[in-house]
Amino acid sequence: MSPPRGERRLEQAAALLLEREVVPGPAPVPDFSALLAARVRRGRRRTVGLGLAALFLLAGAFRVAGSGALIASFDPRPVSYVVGGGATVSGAGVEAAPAGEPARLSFSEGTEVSLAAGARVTVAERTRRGAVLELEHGQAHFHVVHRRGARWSVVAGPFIVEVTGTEFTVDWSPVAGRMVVDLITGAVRVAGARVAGAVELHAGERLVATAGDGRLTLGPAGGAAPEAGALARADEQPAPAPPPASRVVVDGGLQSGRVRHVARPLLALRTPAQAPPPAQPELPELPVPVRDGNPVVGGETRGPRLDPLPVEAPRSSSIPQSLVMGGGGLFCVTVRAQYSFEDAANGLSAPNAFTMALSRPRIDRTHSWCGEASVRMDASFDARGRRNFFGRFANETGQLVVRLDRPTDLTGKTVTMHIYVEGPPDARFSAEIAAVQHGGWASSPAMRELTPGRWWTISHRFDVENPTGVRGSSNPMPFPNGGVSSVVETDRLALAIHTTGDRREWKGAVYVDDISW
Amino acid sequence: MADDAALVAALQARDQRAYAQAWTELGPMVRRLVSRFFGPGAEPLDLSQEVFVRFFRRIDELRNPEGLRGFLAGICLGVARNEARRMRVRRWVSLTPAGELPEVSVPSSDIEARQAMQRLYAALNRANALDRSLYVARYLEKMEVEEVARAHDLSFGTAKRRLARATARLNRILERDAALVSYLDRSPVSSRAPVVADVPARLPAHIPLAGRPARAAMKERA
Repeated sequence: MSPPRGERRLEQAAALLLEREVVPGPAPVPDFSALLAARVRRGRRRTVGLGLAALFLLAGAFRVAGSGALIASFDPRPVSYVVGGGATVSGAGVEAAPAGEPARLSFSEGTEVSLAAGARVTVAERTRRGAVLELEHGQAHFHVVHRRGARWSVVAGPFIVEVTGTEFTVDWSPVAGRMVVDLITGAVRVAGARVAGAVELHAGERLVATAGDGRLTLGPAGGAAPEAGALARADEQPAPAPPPASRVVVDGGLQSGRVRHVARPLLALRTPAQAPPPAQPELPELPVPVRDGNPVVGGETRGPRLDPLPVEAPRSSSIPQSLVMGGGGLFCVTVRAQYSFEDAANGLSAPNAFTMALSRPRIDRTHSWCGEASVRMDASFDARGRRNFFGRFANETGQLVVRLDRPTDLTGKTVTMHIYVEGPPDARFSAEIAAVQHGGWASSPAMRELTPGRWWTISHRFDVENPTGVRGSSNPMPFPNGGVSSVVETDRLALAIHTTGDRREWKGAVYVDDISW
Repeated sequence: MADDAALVAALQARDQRAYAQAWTELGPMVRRLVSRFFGPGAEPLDLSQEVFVRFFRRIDELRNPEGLRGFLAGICLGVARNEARRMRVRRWVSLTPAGELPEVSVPSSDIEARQAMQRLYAALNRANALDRSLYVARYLEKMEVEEVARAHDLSFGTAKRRLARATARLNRILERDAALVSYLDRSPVSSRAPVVADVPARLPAHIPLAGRPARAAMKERA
């Protein structure tokens, strides 16, 4: 007896799926002992958390009026601020006058920020716990009120100073690529650039950080480091040698001075005398890699064109200019980019619904493929939390989306982008390009095993019909939008960066420059 | 199977070498099941890991080593259902108007079949997690009804009813896509299609069921 029609149809559907099934390959054995132990710890934490929450609610029932701090901790509004002193305000940016009274930002929960003459800060983000302030240049003094759960960050170029409650000064020179942090009270953590992990500063200490080589020097405040505020004036000069450090941590161990707990062991603090030359070569010996995303055949990458060798830069510079600025070299003379990101940043976005590793796209003048600027995004990769729609952790992948000025036919054209990633040397990532047309994403295969600290050229040629949701791409899960997409009316271009390799947790920055086709 | 019995005994004794052995022996089955549930393009590895963590934590619940694979399949389908529900909620909550979403990619050179597969996955995405799980178990994994019942922690009768309901609902979903239905109706049933076998009227006595389904099974036996 033949099965009913409905069952038969489902059987036919099953046959269709099974005939084209891709059998998953072998997989390495996870560390189940650690996973099980972590699960037990999480269960305990959840139990303790629930117990505390119950106690807290019970206590709250008997205590109607709480202290100001308690009330403030429940205030859902973000902190607000007023600007005073000699300040010029434009949008969220506050700039102190070149001379005269310093500018002041007074936040609603008591935090005070004072800008030295000529300094400029942008309030990039405000939450009820604190704010993210971007010090664009100059010196700023921060007095952050200590509150439970407070989260304040100061971004200076590629560096991030994370604060809970303290008083300190940050001096940032974007041209010299150098930041000086003087800590007066409390403790802060400094991360970013090529720093593996974060450096913890205590009261009375000074940190000098240079973006070009990732060198950090920790010493007593008021040491021989450049005077605070001097950096902005010395922008055009090469960075002077950092002072001898009173205490140096190299690759996780203390070499001298007292022992103390460091938040993460993988530090890379070096004094000039003790440090070996930076691991990053001053100049790449090979041509700038170009691939079209196709498999590498016989060690040769198949790309639409090969870039010329970058122009050699003087090796004496503390910042390897050939790597961070003007990485395109002669390439810049021969190829004009449709999007060079020299001034405006219109139409840029970092989608944060499913991929959250990249954020805050804005114009930056410390890195450039050609010209003097690029788009910089903060990068924070990890494999924590819940999986996103695609079955991946949201912070494993980040995207930059560029809305095109007008719908563009990319059929038969090779789209090229240039990216530079700042991150720890052992970080690995893949990158891919996608053309978006009416919500349909046509992705290139991922270019894999990329490393931080150099410019990479990514290119992909789009055909009449382009497969979407390419296997292994950042958007691999099935979604009912069709299997191929045309790129006749491409309205957006996207770049996706996905952390790979053994190290999935790292912070840094991603620079994107010169999109052409 | 003697091997399964030894493996279960080692797992219940928390022998850490058994974890690797279980992953090696049973991992392909779990990854295949996850892949069938979510379709091509899915990355089954992470979910498989979650399945095994739960499996190792619940190994003491397994009384009969012969039921090892069914027990694991049940956990796997449970994890997949939870994930499917989460994905659905996230889709409702987080879908951006700009539609920053991927499209299905299927490995096939036959354009018509490829389109049919895409439409089929679209239909399956519209089905609820339990219907999809029942479909995977019955039609893709070719489980017998009592195996489906065990994997979903249902009594035999309930499993039959739910299978019938899921079949009807999935057909209604499929019928919204006339082109897909036309394609399916004119394709011959593959030799790999499940064979509808005669099913026993009641569960064998050695199959343990927990909670309400167990009581229902006892009633049936009574």
